[in-house]
Amino acid sequence: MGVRQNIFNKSLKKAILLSCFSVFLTFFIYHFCYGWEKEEDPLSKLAGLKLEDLMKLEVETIYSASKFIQKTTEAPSYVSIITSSDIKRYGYRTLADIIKSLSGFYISHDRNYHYLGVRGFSPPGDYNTRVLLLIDGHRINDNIYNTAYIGNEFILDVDLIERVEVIRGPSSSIYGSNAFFGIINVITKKGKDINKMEISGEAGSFDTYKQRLTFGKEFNKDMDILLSASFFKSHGQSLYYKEFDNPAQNNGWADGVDGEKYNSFFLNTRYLDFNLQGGFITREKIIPTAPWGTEFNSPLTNTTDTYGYLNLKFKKDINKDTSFMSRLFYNYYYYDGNYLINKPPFVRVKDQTWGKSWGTELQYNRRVFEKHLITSGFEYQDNFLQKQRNYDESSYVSYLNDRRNSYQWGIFLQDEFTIFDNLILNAGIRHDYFKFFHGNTSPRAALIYKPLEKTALKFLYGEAFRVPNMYELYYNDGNITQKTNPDLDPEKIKTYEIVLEQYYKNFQLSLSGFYYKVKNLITLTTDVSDGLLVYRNIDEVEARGIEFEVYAKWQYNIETKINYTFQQATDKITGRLLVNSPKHLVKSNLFIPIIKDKLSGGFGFEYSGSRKTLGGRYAGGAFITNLNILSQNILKGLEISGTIYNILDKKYGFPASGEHIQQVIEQDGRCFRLKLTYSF
Amino acid sequence: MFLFSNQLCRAESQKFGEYEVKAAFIYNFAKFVTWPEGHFRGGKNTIDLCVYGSGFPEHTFDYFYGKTAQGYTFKTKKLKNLSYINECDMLFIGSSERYQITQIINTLKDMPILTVGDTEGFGQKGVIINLYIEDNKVKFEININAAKKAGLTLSSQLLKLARIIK
Repeated sequence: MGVRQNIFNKSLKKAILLSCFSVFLTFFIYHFCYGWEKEEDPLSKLAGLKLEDLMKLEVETIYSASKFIQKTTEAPSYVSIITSSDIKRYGYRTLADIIKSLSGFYISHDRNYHYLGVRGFSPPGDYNTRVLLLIDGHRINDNIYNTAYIGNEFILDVDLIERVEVIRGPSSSIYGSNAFFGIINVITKKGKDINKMEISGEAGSFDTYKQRLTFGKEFNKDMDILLSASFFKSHGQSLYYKEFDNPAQNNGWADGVDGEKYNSFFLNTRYLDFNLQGGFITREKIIPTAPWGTEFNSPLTNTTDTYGYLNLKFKKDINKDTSFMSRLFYNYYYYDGNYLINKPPFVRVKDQTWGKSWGTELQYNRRVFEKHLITSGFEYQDNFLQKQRNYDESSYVSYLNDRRNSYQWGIFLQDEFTIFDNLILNAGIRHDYFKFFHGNTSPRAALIYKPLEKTALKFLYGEAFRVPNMYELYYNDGNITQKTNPDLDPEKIKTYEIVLEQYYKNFQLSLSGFYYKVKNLITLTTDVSDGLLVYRNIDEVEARGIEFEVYAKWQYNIETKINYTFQQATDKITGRLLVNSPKHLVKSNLFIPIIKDKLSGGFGFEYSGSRKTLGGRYAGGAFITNLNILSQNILKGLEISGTIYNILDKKYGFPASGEHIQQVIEQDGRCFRLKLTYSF
Repeated sequence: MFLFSNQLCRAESQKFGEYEVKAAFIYNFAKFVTWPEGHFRGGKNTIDLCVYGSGFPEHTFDYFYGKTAQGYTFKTKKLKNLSYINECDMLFIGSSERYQITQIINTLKDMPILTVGDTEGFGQKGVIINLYIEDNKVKFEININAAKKAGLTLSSQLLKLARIIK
């Protein structure tokens, strides 16, 4: 502990010194360019703007929390918003990069997939099933693993994100299963946001290259088209694992087995009130960590995830008090895993999954008696293919061939009742039915009190659930490493939360305290009787904590954000801290325009405290610093950015899940990216 | 670090709040309205914006006090009740009045007052310009019939940017 503390203090000092130096430098450059005279009063600047320019200024509003547009202070949850300009400013490469910059969220990465944690929950073996990921309201979690893909395997290029709305706390009362700890709603760009051709190329450490080509246009208000294609390829790096350090296993070096590749496509069109959207990605990754007893240092252990969807939406405002939305969707998921098992003679195991579904959703919003805003909806999904296979490719011995189908439906009702001008009651309830489980009802209630114009106090109560997915229920590999558990029950959560949001001058302040109680949490455990991995309902888990965030905008358009989360997620029976659950999280951002809107610097600081590993040891906390320099409009239509990730080259790792020999999976050291985007 | 914090602490607010932007809109509207002939008679050299109701930050409309529009001085004042309404050239009605809005519009009758609101539905109920938010940006809609009734002419530049309610 003492040693770890020391390392932390040292890297913290280094980080502070470095950031001070950079800040000093930027100020110096700024003042060198513009002198020390005071800027004119911002309000008189506002008065000088034409109406056309005023119409371009942004004001924050939120849609996801209650499925209709609200001001953030009236949303029934604690909400964060990341916009496309934040993505550019801080050089975020993936949705995972975006999420880990947020208060209370943390990420793990096993060099194949990214996993997210919130409220102290990210048990190893959880495939991001407890957060619902939406693109423009369309569910992205697949129907086998229910995974929210957030790394390079996320279907949408982050350059096509208009904004990301992150809502903490359960939202099953609106969205059903998986909306357990929160929702991430990704709002996509429209043709008019691009309004020309855009070509983008980037190059980064470890032979990483990405290209993107996007076309977007709005035609006379009736029609809007966006078409985009992205291609990514990374050779990856040589990685050392001390667990394999012997002459027979290349002295622990995994060479050339960290490669990754994806191609993704996106279409977003609108004609009058109809919106057709489609996405497709196929992503391939070689696994360097030799999980599930596979041969170390072999490129023959790899996975390919292919995901696609189509979503046809019709939305109509019937009159000022009534609106109607209906949609029809189709989802496709295919996973192809190749594992070279090391028990001579070599066995090539094929692990495959197919998931197909279609569904429909209807939603109706209406204001009644002036003070009630009713949102109601119905959702149906037919999972007409849920298939898992596992077989020996060399001998065609089949270990698993499980083909199923299922359906689910849900119906919900929510009322936003404006009791007084400064007091809103937001209450909702949803009932879901699943083919394999009994029905489930989830209520949620929020009381939002605004004693002053710039103060909001929210009292939130919510219940949510998650049904076990096909993988947790029916997956086994012939009882070599993992067995099935068809008796799993849905897990359930009850949450209590208080949020205070305060605006003061140029500050935005939020403070939140929460208590979460989970029953029947589904966790990957090892059965001591046979040593096999199996998913079980661990009895009861609870989490409590506080979050605090201050955002401020200063003179010269400098923006700062800092947040701190203290969380304690424990097993209620043993009282022990959960695995992969850091107690402390600190995130900070600093944005500095160096030359007006032409050159800027964006710093990101992320600290995640030490986390317990499956073996009861600790993966030390790490303070990661990123710096992005962004240049826009120096040449018309050209945007250049250069980013250094993990500037201090801090060595750190995340707790590994049960299929790994490693206790901790080490993460990337210092790396770079250069990106050029040209629109014409 | 010292220099850094020192700079920040002295820094002034430069954040444009929702209502700062809305206030700028309203100040701009004063430049694009033609009141009926003879409206500014008897040496009247001000455009008076009256503010009625609540539901917005208190000092929102003081930001542009004393600036000029069309050669007149732009002045703002808070209105406690509607009996002094004839001293107003423009009237901003807060969202607190959403249940009394029809009554207020009836009280104004055909007086040459540019009414402005920022509440859903105000436009349909006869408020001439109603601000709303779309894509996180402040936009506005114009009720042309209400403007005609009040005898006000709105410049085409303004109409071009607005969503029109007929």
